Amino acid sequence: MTYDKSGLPPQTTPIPFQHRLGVALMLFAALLVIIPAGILNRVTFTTLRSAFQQQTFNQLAATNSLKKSNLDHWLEHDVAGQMQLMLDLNGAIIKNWLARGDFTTYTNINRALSNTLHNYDSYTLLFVYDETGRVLAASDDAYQGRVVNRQPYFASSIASDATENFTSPYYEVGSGELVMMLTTPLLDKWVLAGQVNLERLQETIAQRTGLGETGESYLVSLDNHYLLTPLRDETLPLNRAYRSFGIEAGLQGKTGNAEYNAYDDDPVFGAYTWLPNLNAALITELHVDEATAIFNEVRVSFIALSLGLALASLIAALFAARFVTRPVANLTRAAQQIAAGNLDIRTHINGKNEIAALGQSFNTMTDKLRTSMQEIGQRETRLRSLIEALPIGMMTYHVEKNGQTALDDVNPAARTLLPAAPTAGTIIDTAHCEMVGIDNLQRYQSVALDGKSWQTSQVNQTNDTIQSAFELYAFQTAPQQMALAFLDTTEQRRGQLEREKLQQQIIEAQKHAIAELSTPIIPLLDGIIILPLIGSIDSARAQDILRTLLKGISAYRARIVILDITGVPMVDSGVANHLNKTIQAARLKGTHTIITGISDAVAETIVDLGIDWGNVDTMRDLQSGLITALGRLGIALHNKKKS
Amino acid sequence: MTSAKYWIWFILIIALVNCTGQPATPTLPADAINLQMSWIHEYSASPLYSAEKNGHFATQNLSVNLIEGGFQDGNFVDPIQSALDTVNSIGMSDAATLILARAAGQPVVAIATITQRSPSVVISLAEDNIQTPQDLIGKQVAVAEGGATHLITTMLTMQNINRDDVTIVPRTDFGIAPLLDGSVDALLGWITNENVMLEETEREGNILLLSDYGVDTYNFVVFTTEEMLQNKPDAVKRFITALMAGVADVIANPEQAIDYTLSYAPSLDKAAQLRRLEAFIPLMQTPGTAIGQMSPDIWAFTQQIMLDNGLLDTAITIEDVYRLDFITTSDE
Repeated sequence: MTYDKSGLPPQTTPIPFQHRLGVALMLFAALLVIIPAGILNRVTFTTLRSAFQQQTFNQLAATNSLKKSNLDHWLEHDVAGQMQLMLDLNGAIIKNWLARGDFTTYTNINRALSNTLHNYDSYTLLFVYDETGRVLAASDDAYQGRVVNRQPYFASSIASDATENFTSPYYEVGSGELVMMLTTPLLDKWVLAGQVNLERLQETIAQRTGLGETGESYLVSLDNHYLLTPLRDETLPLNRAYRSFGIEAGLQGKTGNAEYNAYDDDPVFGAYTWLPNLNAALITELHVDEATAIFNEVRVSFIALSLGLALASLIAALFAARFVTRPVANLTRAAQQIAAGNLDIRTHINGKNEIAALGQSFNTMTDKLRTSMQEIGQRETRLRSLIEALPIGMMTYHVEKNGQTALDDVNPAARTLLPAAPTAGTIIDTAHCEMVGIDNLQRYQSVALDGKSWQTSQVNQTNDTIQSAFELYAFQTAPQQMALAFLDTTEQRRGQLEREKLQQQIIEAQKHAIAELSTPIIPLLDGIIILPLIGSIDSARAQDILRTLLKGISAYRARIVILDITGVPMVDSGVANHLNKTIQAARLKGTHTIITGISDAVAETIVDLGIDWGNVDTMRDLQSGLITALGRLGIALHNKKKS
Repeated sequence: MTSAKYWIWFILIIALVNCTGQPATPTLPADAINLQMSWIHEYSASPLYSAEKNGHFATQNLSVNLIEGGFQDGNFVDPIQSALDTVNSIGMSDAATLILARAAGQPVVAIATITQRSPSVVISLAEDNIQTPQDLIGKQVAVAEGGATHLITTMLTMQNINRDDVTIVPRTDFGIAPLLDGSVDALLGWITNENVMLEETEREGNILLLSDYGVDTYNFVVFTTEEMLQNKPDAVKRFITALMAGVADVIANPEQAIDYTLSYAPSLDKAAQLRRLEAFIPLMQTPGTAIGQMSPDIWAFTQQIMLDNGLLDTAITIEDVYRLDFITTSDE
């Protein structure tokens, strides 16, 4: 692993704080530049664009004004002036010729008009027509014979007494040429008409000085919205209706300027002026892009500068963020390393600031932590060794976030005790509970979460053999952690069981012996057995007495049995009943029963109870009974001394 | 207040705003008109198409049924008779035909003209250098028999040219082949047809527009019946208003007009139709004259030609043939 200057391994994952701080600083820096720049851009450039717009409007209006002035001057001084000059020079003689009215005079007029035309460049054609519109004479022979009564200037030229009648430019039917006429009456019957040379008009309108690459001026006729002068794009036809805001405003007789979409829908700054002499609107336009080119360049530069500043601010903020966050990041990474268990890590933060002090403190803390961890490790080792060596089984658990309980560790003693114990990490289940003898999982959590200790014992026994046995202690080791301690009690349990078995055997033997002692059969003579009874007689003992007696009768072939109840402290109805059954059983065996040892108390009891022992030989004492028995066998006792 | 009450108030307010904010539009009476065309579907009828397609008829609440003219099923459709035979009829014809109809007692009246100037023109090759009527002297000119002959004869007369000094031969076809192959020196045709044909051959030519020499008439006249004028003058007025808007549309946007034309006659050549329409448009609006406006002088002149050439035996009251009040001029 390579290490950077901080002595730490390279950062592999982004550190949220560093990232957030970097982003926040960059955003702050960017906004610090962009917001003022945006506001400045909005305010300044709105004003600046308005200024550019106004400047362009002024320029276009000045152009229109200049062209209008030139056209007015041209119409007044050149067109009308030359017509007046012609009249001054040749009017009188032409009128004279017309008044004579013969064909030869027309030839003279033709020649005069043709000669005149050579001297005045404002006209391309001069002709004279009568009140029916018939052309009588013309500077161009081809025009002779024409009838102009269908021409737009005819009616006004006949009706008006004005010396000058301008007819606005129009496209002539047939030739399609753009013509403009100036007529002036000659006497009362004739009209001198001059077809105006429109080159000057075209040149004046086409003048594009100061109009840049896209600017243009053009005339639009009121009659049909046709163009009277070509556009910058000369391929566009003239005899089409062209419309735009500027054209409409101009043709409405208005003079002004506006930003609008031109005839080709391009955005323009335009100025419009009404030209009454031409019955047309003069439009001068400049494409918005060109008009605002400098403005746009400045704006783009400003925006670029703003973006550059913003970018520089971002970079500076990035560096600042890195400068500020690098020591913190180093500390963070060091902390991460420590958290990962690497306590050998050290930070190298130079300087005399708080961060450096924090780094030094961090190193100190790390050293102490390492020492502590070593001690803890040693203690843990010792403790683990102890636990490993302990004969007590230990199983530790923790409760996970999902509420499940997981097994952490099992020491050898527990493994021995519970060979089926799962490996560490196993989520405990019902089977695990059964294995350790716990009725449900909640008991684990009650310990780990609530700290409620408890204990129980478990004995695994097959028939009379104890397989294993242990005492179980559950206790909390830390919040959400717990341990089970198993104390192996198998041998103890086995020993206890053995002792209990032996004790039982002894008790049985003793009981047998006592039983035997409590109902002894004493063979006295051939055919006579004595059964002395001592102590209280209950049902069980009565049964024993009965079985012992019957067994003794058979064993000794007894013909007489002496039941000595001298040792029986009390005879109740039950004892009497048992004794009756014994007597009857003996009788069935052919044996006669003699009861001896009836004390006074017993006798009273029998009487009080109404027991009928009339068929039973009862004697006061054993001696009497023995004599009676011998007597029944026909044996008489003799006193040898007496004999 | 419950949400239902809010909704009721909202709807009432909207209804009130709509009632007060929307000016009452007078409803025009719905009228159906049968328009008898003088010719087949082509560029010269494009004002009708533009008026229809651009909604001018609809704006006037008119339902216009275009009835194609020309030769239908081998028979020429007489637009005047057809209009008289049809209810609610308006038709297209020419000035001379209408004068003849009136002279024959047919109750038809001209109410507007599509073209202000006659398209009649003497066409010659530039190499023949025919630039004035005087140049026709000694030349051979092909002219269709009938009205066209009367027109050129009138022009020659007005130009003090002896009729016999110009050889007029009848045109046997509607092409310009005789002119191109030198069979004739000139021919009388229309500036919108034969002259365009010559331009399409890229041969240089000269034209003498008859109207430039005082010979003018109306060739595309809108007429209607006296019955229609009597019963539905408002419908006629609205029709003329819509049609003139169609003329203005054609002048402003010839390409659109030709697109409309082709929607009625898809087999036509678009470029050729556009060239003819571009020659047609200057005739529709001449400077100083309102669209559709007719001149009494032209009507009188037309009748005079007919009288001079024996087409009409006796002059009629020419003012009965036309009505000028359906066109609004700039002076009004």
